[in-house]
Order: sequence, then structure tokens, then C-alpha cells
Amino acid sequence: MKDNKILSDSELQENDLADLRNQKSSEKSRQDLNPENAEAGLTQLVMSVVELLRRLTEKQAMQRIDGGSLTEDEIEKLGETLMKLENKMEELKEHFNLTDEDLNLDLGPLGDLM
Amino acid sequence: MDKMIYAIILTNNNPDKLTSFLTPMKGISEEILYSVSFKNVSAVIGDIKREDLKKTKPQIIKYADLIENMKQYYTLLPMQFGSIVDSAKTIKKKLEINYQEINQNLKKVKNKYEYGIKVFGNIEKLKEGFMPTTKSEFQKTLNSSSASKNSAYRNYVNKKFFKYKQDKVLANFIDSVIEEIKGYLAHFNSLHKFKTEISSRNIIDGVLLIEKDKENELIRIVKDMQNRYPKLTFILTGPWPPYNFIDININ
Repeated sequence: MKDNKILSDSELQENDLADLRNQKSSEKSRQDLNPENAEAGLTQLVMSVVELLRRLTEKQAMQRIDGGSLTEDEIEKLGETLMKLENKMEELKEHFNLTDEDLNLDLGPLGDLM
Repeated sequence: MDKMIYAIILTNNNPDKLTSFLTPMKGISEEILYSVSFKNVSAVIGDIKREDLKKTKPQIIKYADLIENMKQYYTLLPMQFGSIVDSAKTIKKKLEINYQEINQNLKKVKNKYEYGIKVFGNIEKLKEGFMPTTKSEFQKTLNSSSASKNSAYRNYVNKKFFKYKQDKVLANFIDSVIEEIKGYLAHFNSLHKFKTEISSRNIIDGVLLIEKDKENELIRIVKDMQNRYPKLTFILTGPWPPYNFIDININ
């Protein structure tokens, strides 16, 4: 971005500028499927979808707790389920050598997956 | 040779003026720029080989500079970088088929510029500031309630629930800031789009389409917002060509 295009800012910090630059050239987590890495690419894609579903499940569970519709026993069971799911995901990420950033796919104009 | 379309311009039935304007300009691969017209609209094009279109930073900057230059003199619809058509005849046909849609879009952006508003803030610090209690106090409150258990699973849920509450409060705060900006913009008759939580620091990313002569007022609004929210950093950028307000699907 040209400096003369910034019409108003207070103290623009270096972190903010770095964010701006990253948005312009966001190459992170972009899926690059090709014949050589098809298997790894597919694993990353499947893991991303599974992680997204896990997070959605977790969010929905928190909404139900917030709504006060769950008993203490139900919350306890939910905690056990969510904890096991998260631990299993950690194991799988380690097994496939994937990080959280790898799973947060860049969907271009739609933003990041998570 | 293929034709790359740079922009569609409102020429008010005066394509000759556009020709003189384009004569000294050169395209992204130093090609001559010229126009193909239908009624009061013209497509600015350059002859280019597909293999010369590299999508490199210098080419994209050159492309943006050309659009920027045209924007200062004409109402235009910038085309996506790399919009290539096989012949001038096809372009003319596309202008003709999509004439009504093109005209509607040109009317929408006439005498207006696009501006960007970005709001930055330290999300973690903001969350801490919003929650009335710390995580441990919050956990204590939950555990002391009725039949609450103090198990590993319950503690796990409490931790997640605290984060959920923080996220919710932050989302509400961001929405309220956006609503405030929209409130200021209401009398501008502007078009706007906002996205939230773009990154760990960029909490709001907005684009506005506003009449050209309202720039100073817009700057004043952003300064007002900055004074009201000292923990946030507001950045106003522009004027830009109307990249984000064109709603057209050229057949």
C-alpha cells in the first residue's frame, strides 16, 4: 500500500503494518495440491474439515451451557467428550506432522477457515 | 494476440477523448493501450500474450497504477487482473450483451470513491479488559454454583466456557464499533461492507463507497472514532477505485 493512501491513522504500530502486509500477500495455509503431494494434501484437507467440525461442536456445546439447558451431569459428560476429542485431534496432528496453522486454510476472499 | 481488459469506462459518447488520454500510457507488458466502445461505455484494453501475464508484484502494481490513473479522470469499473479475451470483437459483443448491467454499476460508482477503514487492537488485551473477572475467579464462581463438580472434565469445560464468554463479549464490542461507524455514515448515503476479526490484531476491515467531496468529513469521523476508542487504532485509506462495489457477472 502506498503511504500517501493512508489518510488518517493514529500511531500505526509495526505489528499493524505487518498485519497489513500479510493480508496482501497471504500465502499461508493455501492448499497446493499436485500429483507429488496428493496424499499429504488430502490429509491436510480432511483434518481441516474434522477440526472445523470439532470446533463447531464445541461452540454449540458452550451455547447450550450458556443457555442453561444442561444439567450438571450432562456438562460433565460433555466435558469428557470434548476433552477426548481435542486430545485425539492433537494426536492426529502430531502423527501427520500438522500444526493448527496448517489446518486453518486460507479461503481467499472468504478469509481463513477458522 | 489476446486482449487484456483493464477497466470499463464511462465515456459519455466521447471515445476520442479517451483515445488521447490513453495514447501516452503503456500496459503491464509495455503494450499500447486502446479502447473498444459500445454506446457510452468503453473497455480499455491492451494486446498481450497469455504467457506474458506473470501475475508478478511489478505487473500487479503497474496494473493498479493504471487503474488509479484512469480513476482520476473517469468513472470506471476496474476489471480483475488477468481478464483476457480472444478478440476486440468479443469485447464489443460483451459490452453490448451486458450493457444494462455495466451502466447500472457505472451509475452506482459515479462521482464516488472507495475508502478502506481498518481497525487494529490487541485482541487478548481487549478480552481481558472486557471480562469483569479473571479466569480463576470465573472458575470459582462456576464451581460454587449448586451441584457443580470439581473434576478434570468440569475444569476443562470451565476453561472453554470462559474463552467462549470472552469471544462473545469481544464480538459484541466489535459489532458495536461497526454500528457506531455505520451511524456516522448514515447521512452520507454511502455503501459499505465490514468484515470482523481478520487476524489476531486486525479486528475490523471495512470498505466504503462515498461521494468524492466527502473525504474531509470522513477523515473527521475516523479521528472522532479514534478519540473515542484510544485502545484501538483506526486507519483510513483511499481513495481507491471501486474494487469492492461492482456487482456484475459479464457473460
